[in-house]
Amino acid sequence: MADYKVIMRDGIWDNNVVMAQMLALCPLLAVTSTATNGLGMGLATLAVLLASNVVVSLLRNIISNEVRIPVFILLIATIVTLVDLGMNAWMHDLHKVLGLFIPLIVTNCAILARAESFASREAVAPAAFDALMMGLGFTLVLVVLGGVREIIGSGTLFANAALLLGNGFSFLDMTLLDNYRGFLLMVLPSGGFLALGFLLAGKSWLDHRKADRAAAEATAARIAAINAMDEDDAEGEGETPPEDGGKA
Amino acid sequence: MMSDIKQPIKEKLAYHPILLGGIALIAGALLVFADAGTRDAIAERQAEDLRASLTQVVRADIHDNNLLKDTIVLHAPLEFADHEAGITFYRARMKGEVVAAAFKVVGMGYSGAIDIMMCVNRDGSIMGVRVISHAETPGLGDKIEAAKSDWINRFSGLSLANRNKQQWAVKKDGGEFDQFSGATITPRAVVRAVHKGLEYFNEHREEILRGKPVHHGGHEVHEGKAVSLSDFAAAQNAANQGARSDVWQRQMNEEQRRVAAFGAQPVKGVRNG
Repeated sequence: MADYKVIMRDGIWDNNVVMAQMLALCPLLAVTSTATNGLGMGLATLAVLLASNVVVSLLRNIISNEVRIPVFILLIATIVTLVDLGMNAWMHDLHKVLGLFIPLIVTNCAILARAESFASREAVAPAAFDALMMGLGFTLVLVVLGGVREIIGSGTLFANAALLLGNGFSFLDMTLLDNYRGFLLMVLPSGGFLALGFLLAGKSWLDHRKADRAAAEATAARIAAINAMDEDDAEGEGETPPEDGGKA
Repeated sequence: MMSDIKQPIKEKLAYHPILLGGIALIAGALLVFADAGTRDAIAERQAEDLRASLTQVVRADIHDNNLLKDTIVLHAPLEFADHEAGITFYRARMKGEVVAAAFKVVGMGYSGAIDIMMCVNRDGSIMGVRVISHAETPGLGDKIEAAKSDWINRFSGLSLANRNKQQWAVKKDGGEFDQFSGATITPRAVVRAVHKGLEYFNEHREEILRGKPVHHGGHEVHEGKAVSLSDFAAAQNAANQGARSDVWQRQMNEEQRRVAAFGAQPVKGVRNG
């Protein structure tokens, strides 16, 4: 029985495609010049990841270990091509915006990684859920990175959102800094590396702070326990009760 | 879960290639069906895109015909022509007379091809130029888009007569077109492609303006897609031979030979849908 809570935490934070696994950096840096592009790429990847995880999970019992990698690649490439053709035919405006990115999904090693390390070992439902969560985590990183680069690089946020999401979402298109001359470095791929570095540092800092806080709480609990024991039993040795140690 | 009988089969040597081949077969079949199912819709969308880009460079008030139904295809060096069948000229007519022709040229920018639609008046001056698609760096090279800057409007009214060869270049190269700060290659590519296109128009003015009118069936632009493979071969042949009008005859022979061999329709000259 798969633990959906763990899958969710893994996908969005603990084992995030970009921030923990450090995968998919090539499409990531290429498309995150704006938040809208990041969102589009994220959603397209999510769709492909979902389809590939489900198919791989369905076929997991007939795929032999020796040829699994070429089979996975074949499946992913087929799905990406189908999505590309379908979008070009029926969602042409979206395809004009995302068309460039869709073939990039084939090179997204995160999809192969999920097929290999999760979908090929789990039942369909957890595999699909894993794809949703991993895709969501990836999309979040893309949007945050794209947003940061867009604000610093060109002073706008979600520029051309209406092209991607339809006119109903044109309110997202914001110009935050009027008459901003732009900061070219952030628009170029090198700016992507910089922003990604800060993002990773930020996650690391949050994780460390959380760990430190947990450790501090444990220490405090321990000290409190010792003090309580000292008060209860003035002659006691002040030894830590074993259950507190376990909690820490 | 795995049954005792299944396990040995999976370990047999023949199982792996059969599995891989089977999946490849299924994937291939799926793609064939998907391609067949979406081809018409995609061609339709591309025709719409083409129509939209034409209306950007050809003023509506100067013509009374349907541009997409009055086309002529000429071979051009692949250097600045579309990768398909040379250059398709969409002719704008007013009361039966050709007043302007729109066509697509391709420039090689900083990151790949820049597709440019341009319209030239009968007298050889430019009516309008628009960049249809490009992959230049956002924030640097994308000022060639009409939506981002009015740089591209600079071309309107220019011709080979009122600008000499030196002036058809960016300022850095001694010409009169602005380059962008941080991006010279992109505007240089656009200026060069437009200049080449204009030269080509002037050289082939008679053919473009007087080529026999076309009587299209209901199916217009898709035709280009349908024959594009053979067109491509022909265009490459043409490019290898240094295609210009002086090799017209050679191409026609080439064409006849090819038509006889494959039953494809002639490319050179007027296309008939």
